[in-house]
Amino acid sequence: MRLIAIALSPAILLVWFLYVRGRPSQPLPRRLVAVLFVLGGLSAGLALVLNHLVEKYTLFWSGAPEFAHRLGFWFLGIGLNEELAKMIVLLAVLYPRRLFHAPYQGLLGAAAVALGFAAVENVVYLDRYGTVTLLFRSLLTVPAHAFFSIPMGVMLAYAKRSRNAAGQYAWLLGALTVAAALHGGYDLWLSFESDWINRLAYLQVLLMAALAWRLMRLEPFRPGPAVEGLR
Amino acid sequence: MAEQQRPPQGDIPQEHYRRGNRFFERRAWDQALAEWRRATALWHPGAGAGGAARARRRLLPGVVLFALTVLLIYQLVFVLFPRDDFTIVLAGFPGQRQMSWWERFLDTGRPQASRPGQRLGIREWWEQWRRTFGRREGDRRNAPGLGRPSIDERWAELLRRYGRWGPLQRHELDYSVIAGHGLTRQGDYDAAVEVLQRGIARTSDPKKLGDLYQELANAHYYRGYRLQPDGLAVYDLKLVKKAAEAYEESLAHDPRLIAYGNLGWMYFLLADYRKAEDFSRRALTYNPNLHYVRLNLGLVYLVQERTHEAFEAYREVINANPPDEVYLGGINDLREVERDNPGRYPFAHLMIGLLSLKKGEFEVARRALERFRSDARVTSTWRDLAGRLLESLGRLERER
Repeated sequence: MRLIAIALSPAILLVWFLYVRGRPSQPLPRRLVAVLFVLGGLSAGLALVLNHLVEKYTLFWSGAPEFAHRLGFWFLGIGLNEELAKMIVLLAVLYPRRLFHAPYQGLLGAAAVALGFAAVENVVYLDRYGTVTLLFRSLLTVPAHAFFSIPMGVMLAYAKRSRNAAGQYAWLLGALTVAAALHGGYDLWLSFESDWINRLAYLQVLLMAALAWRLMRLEPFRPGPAVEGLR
Repeated sequence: MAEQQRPPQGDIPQEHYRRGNRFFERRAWDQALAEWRRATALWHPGAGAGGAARARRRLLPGVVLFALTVLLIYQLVFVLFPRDDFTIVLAGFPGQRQMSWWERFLDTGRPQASRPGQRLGIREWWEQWRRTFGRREGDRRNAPGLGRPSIDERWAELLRRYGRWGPLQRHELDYSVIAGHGLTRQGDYDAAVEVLQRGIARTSDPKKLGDLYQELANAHYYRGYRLQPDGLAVYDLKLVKKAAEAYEESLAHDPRLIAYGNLGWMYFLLADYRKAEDFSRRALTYNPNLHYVRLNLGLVYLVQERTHEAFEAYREVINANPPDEVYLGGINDLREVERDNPGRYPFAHLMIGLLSLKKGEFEVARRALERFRSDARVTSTWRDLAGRLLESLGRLERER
């Protein structure tokens, strides 16, 4: 039980940080953040099923003899599946809400879902690989999960702001592509045995953290179509 | 009703909106937002449940279009990169115990991702990248007669390059190893054994002794190896025993992976299955991608009638997708077992069927699978698996 608490705590701490660091002009209710965190954890189940379908029925898997198939596994398998599972939660719960209108709300929502996902993954990994892996994951992979999804959340806010279906579609697709590419790239670096290629994953996390920091400072949008005619 | 909803005089939405904009310019977000909210409330006083539903409907086309695109991407992944039909049949097959539906679903039949040695180093990564994306260029480079030096030219080049730096002058090369190796390659095993034994008597350097004993083991082994017209081999077990002893000596002086793998095979031939399993497992611990060793291990399980473990070993090799010669070696080993013990191991036919299927030899696979299925000792679960494999074989033949 204590170990499970340790496995969950990094993710909860990070959500808490992003929540209290939140912009008063772009609020997200605490209860909604908690719901997103829990649903993010449940979305890990969907990702598990999708990952297994890809691994079982296609040529894509982590040990595939062809490098192209391994690339396919990291980007179109793990990256796409896990980020899609998170995005489904965001599209179902946060996206249609009237209160969702600002980049920071998207950022916080996406981070909550991603960290819920990472928390559940942490518990599973704790059971499978032990506490050393847990420590490594807490320092690197848990924040990395948040950083994969943060651009996606911000882009969802832009999608919602779009006036037509084409613009909305482009932002949604872009959101998933960016998140899947970041996730796939990170997993790819870690899949090599070479230490210096592994270090690219650390570098990527740093760059993603810088990007997240920049996105946290995005200003709220001006009002959307509701009062646009007043201008 | 309309009168009640009208904003009170002086409270004009435009005014609130403009005030919000001014706050926005001054980066006073909270006040800006409050003003805009007020403006919206005054402009759309009836915006409640109906407004929310309208807003949701506005979002729907973009989301539906997005969902359809994602489905299309998955469709492309599953259609353009399908896994072999029969390996999926293998993946869903229960292993050493009864599996629930969920466990069967989760069983992808792939080796565990966490297993050490599965991650590749930079060299393998580069090699595979080149193989995947630079195939045409590679093919041209490797074409015969296009810039590939002959062995004589290569040897002359090595002598020219390194001879003057000293290794040859300092006698760092062990001529006994080179001569022994050359004689073994030429088929003059007696001379090779003599040269190598002389070399062993002269040196105390563990690394050189490791090389010499390894060459000696090879010379003994090939001395007792006779290839038959049907492509199968017969072995002189006395010489195999000598080879195994030499390999053990080699390991004692300078442990190396190849010795573990080969000792596994030699102890299999000598019917010492405990040692065969032990050495094969040790080789696979160091390098799980030694497919021929895994096939040997499968064979060791098979002759001990540990059929589920044998099946797992063969399945892992098939899923790793090694080159065709690996399957051919595995098939020949199984045929040798069948030749030496006719009808004793029905599972040998299943494994021959699997490897032939993977190799694309459908007729051989069909015969082997049908023979396995018709064996009275085979239980219904295995018979069912053979039936499904035959079905997928039929589909593959039609596609071809």
